[in-house]
Amino acid sequence: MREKDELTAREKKYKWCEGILALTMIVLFMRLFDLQILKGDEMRRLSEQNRVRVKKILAPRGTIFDRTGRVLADTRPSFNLYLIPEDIKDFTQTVDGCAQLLGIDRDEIVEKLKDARDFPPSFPVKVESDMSMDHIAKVEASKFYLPGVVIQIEPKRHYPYGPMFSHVLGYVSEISPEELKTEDYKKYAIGDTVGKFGLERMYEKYLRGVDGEKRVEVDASGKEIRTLDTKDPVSGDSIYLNIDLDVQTTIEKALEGKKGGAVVSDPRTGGILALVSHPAFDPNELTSGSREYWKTIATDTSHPLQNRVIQGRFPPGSTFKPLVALAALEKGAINEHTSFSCGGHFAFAGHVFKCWQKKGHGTVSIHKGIVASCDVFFYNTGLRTGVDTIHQMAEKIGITRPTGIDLPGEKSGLVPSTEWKKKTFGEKWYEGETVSVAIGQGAVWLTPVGLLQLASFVGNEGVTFRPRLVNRIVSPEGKILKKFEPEMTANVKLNKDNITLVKEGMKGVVNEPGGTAYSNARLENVSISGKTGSAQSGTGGADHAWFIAFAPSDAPSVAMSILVEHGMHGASAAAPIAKAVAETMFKQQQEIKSAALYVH
Amino acid sequence: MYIDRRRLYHLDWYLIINGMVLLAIGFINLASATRSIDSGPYNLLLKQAVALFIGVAVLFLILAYDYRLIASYSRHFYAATLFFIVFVLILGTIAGGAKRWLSIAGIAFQPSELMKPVMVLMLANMLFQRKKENEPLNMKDVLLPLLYIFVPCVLILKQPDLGTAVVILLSCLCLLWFVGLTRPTYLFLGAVGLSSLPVLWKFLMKPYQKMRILSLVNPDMDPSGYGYHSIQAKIAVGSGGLFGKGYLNGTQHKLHFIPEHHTDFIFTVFGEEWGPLHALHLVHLQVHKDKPQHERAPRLVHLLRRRGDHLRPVHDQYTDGDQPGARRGHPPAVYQLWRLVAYLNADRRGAAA
Repeated sequence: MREKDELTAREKKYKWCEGILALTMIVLFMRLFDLQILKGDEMRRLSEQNRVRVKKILAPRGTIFDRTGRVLADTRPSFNLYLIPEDIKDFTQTVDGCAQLLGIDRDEIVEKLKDARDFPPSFPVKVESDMSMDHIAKVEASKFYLPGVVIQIEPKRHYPYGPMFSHVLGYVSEISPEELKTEDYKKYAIGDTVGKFGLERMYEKYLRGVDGEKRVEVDASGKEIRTLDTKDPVSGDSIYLNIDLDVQTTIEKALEGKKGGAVVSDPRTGGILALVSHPAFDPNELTSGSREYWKTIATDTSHPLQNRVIQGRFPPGSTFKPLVALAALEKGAINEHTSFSCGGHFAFAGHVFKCWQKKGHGTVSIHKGIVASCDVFFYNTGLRTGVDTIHQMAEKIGITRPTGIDLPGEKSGLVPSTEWKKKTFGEKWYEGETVSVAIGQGAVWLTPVGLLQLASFVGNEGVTFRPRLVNRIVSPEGKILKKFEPEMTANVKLNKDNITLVKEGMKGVVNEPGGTAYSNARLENVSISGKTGSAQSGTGGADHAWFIAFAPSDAPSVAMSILVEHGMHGASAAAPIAKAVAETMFKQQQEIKSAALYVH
Repeated sequence: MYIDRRRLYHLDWYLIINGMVLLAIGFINLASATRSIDSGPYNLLLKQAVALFIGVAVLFLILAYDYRLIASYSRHFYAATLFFIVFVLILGTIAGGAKRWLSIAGIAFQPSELMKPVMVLMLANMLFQRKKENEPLNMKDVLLPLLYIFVPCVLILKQPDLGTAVVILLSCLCLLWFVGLTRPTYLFLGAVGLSSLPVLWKFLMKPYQKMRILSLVNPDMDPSGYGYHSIQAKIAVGSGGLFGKGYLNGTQHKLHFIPEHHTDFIFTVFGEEWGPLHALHLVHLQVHKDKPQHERAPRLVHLLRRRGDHLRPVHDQYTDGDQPGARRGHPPAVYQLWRLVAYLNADRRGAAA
């Protein structure tokens, strides 16, 4: 009997065992069901995230050419160091190791990693761009100890002429966190490069290509196993400029070591042939993201980042006189026979205004007034004309507004009027001020590009075109996407006699003995028309030297405006530059001419 | 070969078949798991194949042998294994560091692993041979078995190999439970067990052992450290979905997101590639229910049956104590050897019998 009880007790235990096994099976089944069926999609996503990594293939930026197809900005391969936070095993080892090898501050790397917090941990964070060969070798050699470090070859912007085109082209660099937050840069990610200045910024949307994508399979240590699929990057559009490299080089040489700005255009189209602002900066350095260099130029008191041609407003001095003369003639305040006597000074309303020629010019008519730049003649003319008429003429030419040049940050010029003074200062205009305005001083402030328009206006006899750097935008396949046709910005009907008078005057400045630029700008084979200017800088220091010109005098194909800050005399400091430009410009023409002569 | 035909149909064939199926699945799965191993995928597979062959051979050898004879040597096995464990420990101390295995002819051999079956054999024999056969064990009765259990357990813990120690302890306690304990003994053992847990936790367990337990409860505590295996294993099994990713298509193990995927985490490989239904089936294969004797062999085996087989006695001088001509005591080692040789040579004799 006892044995039987024992047996049933053992049986019971068997049942217990079976129960436990069944329960285990059920629990296991439930867990499998939960993981594989209920959470299956989520887990599948996680496993895909584990193994598939999307890599960006940076598109090369569009190339920028000059008018004859010479490369002004292209891309070259560079080595960039990235950190992939997900793959970092030991934070200190990787980050400190990198900092040590690259010789950069540890905090800098930490800061960059922090900036990328909002991105997934598999997102590579750029730590160093354009590494030197030395650094690449060091990092590659110790890569095993630096999990999470990746060196990638990526296109980098390159400016073969360095600082020469810095103000035209601008530069590119990494997008800042502030920019990222704005609407314009919605589609950008941290680490992307973006045009920061000049044309790079203006035509960002064309120059920037479409980045490609490579989906790769990686293993647990982040090593690439194979490529799943690739979307090729599309290169950015190319831009052909109106700029002529030769002209630019000429000006660059002439302005070397000086402060100032010069701009040359074809008055028939508005196409800018050269644009130089000095001092300049090296865009290659800025594109590499060198912080020290940025600090140097940002704190430089000579403002290398300022584009003087479009942002520097200076008193135009005597270069303003053709405008005054034209305004006076058009109003009828003077005519070709009107003359004033210059004794070297002019007294008005209790002030004595001096002529630059202390001994005076004697009897001065309009032609001589312009040729010799007689101040007394223009004091009188200005008073007869009135400031508002001068202002109206400036407005017609379009220099009281921004000229519309295709560069960001252009500033408008200022030519005062009675209305302007009332609005700005709440005061009435004094005639004495008109006297200053008549010789381009006082409240007259113009940019070099504004004065370029004045030169073009006179040269074209009443017509100006919008200054344009860009000629056309061409897609990578070679299709012209956009062609910038000349855009007329002023078309003023002028009395033929009046404009001829002014043009003759400007021609005389260079070509007549006694003209202010006779000895400095005259060329044998081409007739240049111009006007010198020496403007009191207002801030003390030597006068600003100006020269505006167009050539050939009768049918101008080039207009220019040259400023040398504190260059003393327009004739001696600025006019030779114009001469050099004209020489460069017409050398080719001359050669063709002589060749043609030889043939016939 | 001289095998008593009745052994064939008294044998639990389903257990063997289950085992074989499991071995086959294991082999197939290993082929997938080791494909990505850099040092040549076939080394491990070849090793496994050899081990499989040897294992099956040993299985049939043991089947041919009388298990009661094996049981009678349990103390010798126990002593030998214990010796190996101590030997490994000492060797480890000399080498300066933990050591669990011995290398014999290039094959790593872990004595604590051997302790698992030996301990069961030893304990089963011990409990079977005690005098009051069917009575529950009281406190005095469990003392000796417990001593036998704790000695290897403590030594293995020293190695340190917590996992094996726990497995041995649990399986032995199961055996004790199966034999039955008196109520006070249950209470006493339960109280001692529970009260020793905090002590174990506080003083004996190493921080990494604690971390392992904590991350088992909450893997997200340290996802890239202790919880990593757990999380990645879950992702692997889960990402298989209803039908799995397909044989050889698992990504988690192939790309090394799962460490030790060909040993400790082999199930994740199967789960990822085959899906939940197969995974469940795999688990179910490991569960075996004891059947009544006449149901243990498939029909095919029963065809081998001859009339009157069940009446024919199984002759074994030493184990069939109640048979005429039986001898008492342990058979001498020479006799064992002779028997082995006889088995291997005696197929004609077997056919004649």
